[in-house]
Amino acid sequence: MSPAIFEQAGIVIAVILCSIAVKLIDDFLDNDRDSLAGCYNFSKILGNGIIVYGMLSLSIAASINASVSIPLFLVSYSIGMFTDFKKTFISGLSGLQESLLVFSLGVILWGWQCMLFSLFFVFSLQLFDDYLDIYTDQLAGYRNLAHRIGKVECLLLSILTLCTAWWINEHLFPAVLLGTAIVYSALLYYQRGR
Amino acid sequence: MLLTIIISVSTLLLGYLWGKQNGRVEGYKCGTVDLPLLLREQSLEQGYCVLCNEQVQNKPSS
Repeated sequence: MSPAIFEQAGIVIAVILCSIAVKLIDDFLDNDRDSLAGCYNFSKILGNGIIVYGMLSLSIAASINASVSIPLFLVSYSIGMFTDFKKTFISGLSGLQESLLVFSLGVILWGWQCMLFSLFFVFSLQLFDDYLDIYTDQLAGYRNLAHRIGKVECLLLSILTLCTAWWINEHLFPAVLLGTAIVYSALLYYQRGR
Repeated sequence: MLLTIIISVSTLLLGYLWGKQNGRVEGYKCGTVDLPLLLREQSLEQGYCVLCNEQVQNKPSS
């Protein structure tokens, strides 16, 4: 295998593991809400150990390619916090403050390009997910982005942010998209089948 | 190429937002004008006037 293919394969695997880590941590945090809405949640299978598997998955992802997986995780955390931007967390900071702090830390550690690419990519994915889950989230009593800004606006903004991420880092984009698409399709297949 | 797509999608999004907002304002104006007439028409069909709240008697046309 040539080094270029090996590098791209490494990025895909790192993104897959990072996505799994984000999904497991998200399921751990949203366990109560998903139970109310009747949505499938991995906490049912893994129990409290879900957070440990999330950490393990992130550690392996970081070992394979830290410069891709860590910015993606930091941005996922920032965007996750930003949705609860008024709520005060254990740190004593509001969601908005935590979100900005984590993003700034990411910029200092990994540079603007990595963090901006991750920001646009993850935000695009968040918008697309909200577009697909608009009715499920409404059932759970949660007004997601598609509900707040409109379905078509959400989809168009998702395409726009995805293209912007591609424009920021053309070299990284195909492998990151492939890794995310694999995990996302597997999750859709697994969750919709139940 | 990518920049062209970004500009195109941005334009589409802005056009959609502008059209939606414009449609909402226009629709509200049309609704405000049409609603009293529609209500009156429906109430007269059901045999009363929504304005004076009196029963309407059908008179044969001469």
